[in-house]
Amino acid sequence: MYLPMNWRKAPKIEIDKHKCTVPMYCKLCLQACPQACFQVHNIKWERLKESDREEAGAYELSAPFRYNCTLCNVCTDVCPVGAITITA
Amino acid sequence: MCVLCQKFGDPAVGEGLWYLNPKNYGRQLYRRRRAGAEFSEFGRGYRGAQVTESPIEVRNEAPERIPELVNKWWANVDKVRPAQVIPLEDAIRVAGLCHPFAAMMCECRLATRAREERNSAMYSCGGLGVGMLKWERWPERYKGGVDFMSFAEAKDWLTRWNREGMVAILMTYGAPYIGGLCLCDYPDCGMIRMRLDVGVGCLKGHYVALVDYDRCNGCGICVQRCQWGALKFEISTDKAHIDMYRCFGCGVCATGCPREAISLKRRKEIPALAEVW
Repeated sequence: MYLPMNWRKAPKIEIDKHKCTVPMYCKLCLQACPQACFQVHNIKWERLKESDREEAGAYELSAPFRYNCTLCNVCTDVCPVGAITITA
Repeated sequence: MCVLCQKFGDPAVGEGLWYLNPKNYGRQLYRRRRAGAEFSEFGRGYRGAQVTESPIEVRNEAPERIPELVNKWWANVDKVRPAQVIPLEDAIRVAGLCHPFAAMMCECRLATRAREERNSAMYSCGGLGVGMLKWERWPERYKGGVDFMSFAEAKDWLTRWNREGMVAILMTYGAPYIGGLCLCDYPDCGMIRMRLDVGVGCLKGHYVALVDYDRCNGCGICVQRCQWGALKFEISTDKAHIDMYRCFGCGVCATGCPREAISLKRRKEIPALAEVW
């Protein structure tokens, strides 16, 4: 195991859920992030049914791996609705 | 000796390796309620026991507590959901032991890169055992369906992904029940990522890669294939160099080598590495 020596608290990545509604359909930040900080989950569970990725609110974007974030702001540039804000 | 081999292995079967012990694929283990374990709504039986806080949260908020978390995880390695890196030959032997063997969409790649794998040519995640027979109940998890494979097909499938450079990781769902064979890379795969970034998640394999310096011509193909950061190109000698402490024994470098210069050696034969997991 080799961990970075400069352990610091991770930057905060805030995602506005009202602006970012279809992350599974858009997925620009997920594919653009050089450090792969983001994750997309299905939050609408319906028995025996697959969620529609174009339906608003079926999926949710989060940034659990934000410890890897370098504040390069590629995701904020690429986001078409401006839903991501990063604070150190 | 590997903790999992000590607890779940049989010295008489499969060289004492826990994943070559057929008992660990048993139907009786699937869904057996384990102390502290929670049920997974993804339709994969019980998750491992939650003995530590979320490793990702600790890494984000209090990285100085990682050593504490890692110690706790290793002390409870038989209760949590451990995984182990295995080379291609062992993955093929595992495919021969379990039934059924099915390929499906990788959940990690779906979550981290939103990569939707919608057909059997793209599937890169292997499901083992009876749990796979009722995949239809969770269409969200198994998007696009599941591809059940015979042993020969599974062998071809594993070989193909190994040629592409994916690392085979054997997954347990509440040890010792073996329920998955992931083909992973960094950073998309959760297991490799947790291990390299936090230090928990998967155990190293039972092998270590060694370079034969007489055969290596320094083409550098192995260097691109290592997912663990163990391989470097040594410019002074113009050959590949493997850091044996960092090597996880996945064997991906060995299968990619055009001159067969890299060989796998059992970890227990190397004194300093015998207990490095």
